[in-house]
Parts: sequence; structure tokens; C-alpha cells
Amino acid sequence: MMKQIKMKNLIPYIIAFFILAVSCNRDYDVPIPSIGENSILKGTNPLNNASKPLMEGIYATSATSGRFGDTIVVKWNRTSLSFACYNGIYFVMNAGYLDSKISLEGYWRDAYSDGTGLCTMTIAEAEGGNEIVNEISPQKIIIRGEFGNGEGLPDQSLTLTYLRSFSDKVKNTKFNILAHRGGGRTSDKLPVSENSIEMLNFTEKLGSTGIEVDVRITRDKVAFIYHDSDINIRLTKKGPLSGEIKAYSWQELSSYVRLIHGEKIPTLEAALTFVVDSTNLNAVYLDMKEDKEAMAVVIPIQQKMLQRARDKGRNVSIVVGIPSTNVLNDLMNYPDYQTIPSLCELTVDDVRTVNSIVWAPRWTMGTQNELVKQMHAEGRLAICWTIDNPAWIKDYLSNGQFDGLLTNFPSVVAYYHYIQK
Amino acid sequence: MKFIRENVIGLRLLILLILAGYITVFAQEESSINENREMPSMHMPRYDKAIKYKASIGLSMVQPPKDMVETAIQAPLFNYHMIYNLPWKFSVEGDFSSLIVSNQISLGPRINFSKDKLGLKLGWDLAFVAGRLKQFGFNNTTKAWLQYPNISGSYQCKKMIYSLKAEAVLVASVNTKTGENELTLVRNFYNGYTGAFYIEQRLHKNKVLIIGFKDCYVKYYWPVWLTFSTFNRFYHVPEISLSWII
Repeated sequence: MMKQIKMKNLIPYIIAFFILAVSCNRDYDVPIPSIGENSILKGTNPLNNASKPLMEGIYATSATSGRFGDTIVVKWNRTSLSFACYNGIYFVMNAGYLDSKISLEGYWRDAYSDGTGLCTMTIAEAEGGNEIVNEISPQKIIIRGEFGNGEGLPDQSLTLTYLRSFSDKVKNTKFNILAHRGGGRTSDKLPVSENSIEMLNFTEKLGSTGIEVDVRITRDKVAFIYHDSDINIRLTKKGPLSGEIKAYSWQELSSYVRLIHGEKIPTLEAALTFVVDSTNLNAVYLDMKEDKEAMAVVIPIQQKMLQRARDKGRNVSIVVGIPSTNVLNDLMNYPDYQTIPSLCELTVDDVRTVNSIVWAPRWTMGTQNELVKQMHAEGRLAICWTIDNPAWIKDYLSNGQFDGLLTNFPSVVAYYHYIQK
Repeated sequence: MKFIRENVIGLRLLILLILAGYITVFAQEESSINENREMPSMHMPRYDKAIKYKASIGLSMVQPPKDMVETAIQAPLFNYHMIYNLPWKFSVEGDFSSLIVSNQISLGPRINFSKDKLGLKLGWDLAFVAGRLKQFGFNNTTKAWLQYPNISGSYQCKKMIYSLKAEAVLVASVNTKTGENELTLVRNFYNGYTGAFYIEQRLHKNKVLIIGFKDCYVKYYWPVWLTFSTFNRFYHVPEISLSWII
């Protein structure tokens, strides 16, 4: 006999539901804080391109808290001025000048957590502003300002004092800072989705000089960039499609799937066109997620985009990745496969077999300096993946001989690269 | 089919709750033959001198954060929990949980208070985590020491015992290696807290079923230790458990 349900009998289930409801992870963003109407850049003029390199270098920090470390790397990218710290904190700053005073405004973000805040700074006329604006190498540069937490206005003092320019070793070495997932992972709560055009546009702010993108093929043989094998709510907004992503046509994906921040999934051709035409990125690693006749789809796009770069006078390296023997075999079925620019993650013998221009071992294999030297002697590059821990990044840059590192945290690699003496 | 695929967690939860409701409504009649015997409990303090030692075994379903594991995996977690009653109001509780590739053993004292239908426990557990997983040809290993100061309150209602438990999670050290490379070595940080709700129901004689709902709000979630190296943020991790007192 069913008993009459009383309210007090439901209390345990209400508690259970409450605990489960709380424990279900809610998707959240770490929005970029905005200073809005109080912008100090109002009425300023953009800095000339010749002025920008004069600001780059290593600066001593003096902050009310020690959260940014003793030194900061200051480096311009295509669109903004970036500061990189030893611990994964980076700043993205916009700049302008009025008379001889330079104003900087932007935000800081901790790459490993959700910490963020506003930052406003200035370079006074007598502290380097006048020389920089007039494109003269300054005697000294002192950048003074404040930073805040979250959306709060900047209220804690931060002063950067110029110590030195980048070393000759840094200036004379072409080192690849390769950002994972098209420039950054969705799981790191960046403002744009991984493997999107918007991320390609964003990643240089983090210090990236190149990218890795994940290449998949639709049912109707269109190459596109997307990491996971299925359509899921980790990477995409909820929609009518689910299951294996390669089961759909490009028309279906393009019409129905939006990435987690609302962007469209890009085709490989659209992504590479954007890299060549609209960024300063100089290396693209095509991480092949399919191994059956995918090379026949991807290589013609690679060749077309390499030609496009040459036509535009851009020195962009685009390599097809070989992460497995199946992909290796797929490449070896392609005519003249030894002439195809490729990056091989397998053994050095495999590298030689397909004449890859880059050898890319997993970082946990160690620095492998002897093998790296062999690769260099054969005219190949060596890059290791995917290294994220600051201590190991520092160690590999100090003791390794790699030509680049693939990472989820390009600002950390940038710090330890540019600070080298 | 698509609805079922996308809502598999919710459907499992629904089945568990229907099961719990069924047990609540019908099982009491069967267990009425035992109504004069004190119901065994892993959460309500008991001082039955004849029972010094009691234990439960169970399985938990855990769903690690998708940011960390990058796929919607769920994993069953085997659990063995024991209580040894000591003189006065003290007891010792031990727990062993295993995911094969991740294992945690904990032990700690409790002081117990009870009055009428209410019970209260205060405790402090020390836990050791060990794990091993071969991935990409490398042996990944972890060792970690954690502390769990905890408090729980229980209420007996007819044939059911309801308990709420809260614990802080303090990490003394986490050391993770990939091959010979030390991936993580961190010490002494506040790792978050857990909140749990348990329903204990006697089904037959001394056979008691425990249904648990737990929310772990932590940075370092030991069952998925290999993903901890670069995620320095808190995540809610739900656990649903079914256990038997043996």
C-alpha cells in the first residue's frame, strides 16, 4: 500500500538534490575586466611602430604585493603590449600617447587560475615618455601605475623600471613559442574558444609566435579544426547535433555547431588564410587527428597556403604532423611524400624516412640533446610538446637545445625565453 | 537515443532516487521484524559493547570535471569503510578507496556524542594517496598526503538515519612523476572542502544500505591526480555512492 507522502519525508531527498545540484559543475567564464568610461586612453594617439621596440625589454618590478615576481618581460605583439611574469601571470595592455606622456591600459590574468584585474600605467615625459614618442632610444624608462582585482578599479601600486634589452642570444635566435589548440585551451577560461579564428587572432597577446591546430575531416572531405572526436558541451554550445563529429557534413557542422563562446568551427583553409593574411604568426603545426586518407585532403590545402604566404612575402612554416604510425603510413601513400613539409613525433628514424623538417618528441622523453644535435646537423628543427610546468619550461630553456616548445601557457615560455642572457 | 545519450547521468541519478524511494516506502515493513534491535550505522555514534568493529563496502560513481579529463567519463570507485569503537566516546575510522590507478587510505580518530535521536562526530583523518598509470609509454606515479578535519551530524527517524558530513581538505604534499620527471611537487595548501548527505536504511536484519551524495569542491581531486599539474582552480566534483554495512 502506498503511504501518503508527507512533506517531512521529502526533506532528505531535497537535501540530496541540493547537494547534487551544487556539485554539478556550472560552466563559467573569466571575463576580461573593462575600465569602461574611465579609460585613460581617451583622446590619446596610437604609438608609431618605430616607438614600440624602444619599450621592449626586461623590467624590475616593484609592487605592493610580490605576486608578479622581481622581473617582468615587456614585449609588443601585433596588437598590444604584453607583460609576462615567471609564474604565468601576464598583462595585455593597450597604449597611446598625448604630448610626451604615454598611457597604458589593460588587464592582468593568471594563466593557471582565474585571477584577473585591471591595470593602468603611464610613462611620464621625463621618465622615458619623451624619447619613446620621438623614436629616440631612452636613457631610462619607468612605468608607474596601479593594478586591481576583478572588476574593481586599480588601487595597488605597480612600478616597472627598465633593466636591459633582450640579450643577443634572444635577438639572434628564432625560437618558436607554439601555442596549443590554435592558441589556447577552452579549459583555461580564455575569452575565446580553442581552435577558432578568434583564438588565432588572440593568441599573440599571450606571447605565441606559432600555433598547433587539430585537424579533422568531415564526412564530405572538408578539413576543419577541432580537438575532440565528438561534439560535446566541453567545446560547443548545446545544439541539435551530437556523437562523432566526422560523421557530419561540413554544411551540417557549419549550420548547427557553435563553439563554446559562440564562434563557428573554422575550415582548415579559412584558419590558415587568417594566419597568413591577418597575423604575425610564423609557424603552424597541423596535428592530424584522422589517419585514413586525410593527407590527400590536407596536403593540397597546406601547399596552397604555403604558396599564398610566399606570394605575400610572409615566412610562414606550415607542417603536417605525424603523431602515429597510421598517420605516417597515410603520408607515405602520398606521391612525393618526402617533399611535403612535415613534423614527426615518432623516432628520428621515422623523421628521416619521411624527411620531416621538424622532429617533435614528447617533453617527458627529456631534453635529448644528442639527438637534437643530430637533427640540427641534418638541417632539421626539434620542438618538444606539450610542456606546461614553469619549472620544466625554465629547465628545458636553460639545458635543452630545442628550437621551440609547444605549450598551453605561451606567456610562461615567453618569459623564460626572453629573459635569457 | 540522443536524449538518452546526453542525459545518461541524469537518468542514472533518477534510477538511484527511484530505488531510494522504493526502499524508503516498502522496505520498512519487511524490516519491522527487527524493530527492537538497534539499527547498525556507519554515521550515527553507537556504543554497543558487543560490536567493537563494523565495516561497509560500496561503490561510488564519480564524474571528474570535464576541463580536466577532456571527456565525459565516469568511473566507479570501490570503497571500504571501517569503524573500531574505543572506550569513552572515542573511535577510530579507516577508509580505503580505489580506482585501481588511484588509491587512497585514511585513518583518524573520532569523538562521538549522542542524545536521543541525534548524533555528532568530530574527527581528523590522515590520508595517503598512491597511484600509477602507464600512458604514452611512461609510468606515471603519484604520492600524496592529505588531512581531512571533519564533522558530521546524524538524525534517526524511525528506520532511517540521515547524516550530514562536512570536511575540509588540506594537502600536506603532492608529488607526481612522469617517468623520471617530477611533474608536480607542491606542499601545504588548502584544497577545498566536501559536503555529503547519507541515508542509511535497514533492509533485512542487520543489513543496512547507505546511499550517499557528496560534493567535493577541490583543486586536487585525488582520483584524477594525473590532470592536476596545471589546473590551479576549484571544481565541484559530484559523487553518488551505494554501500552495505557488512
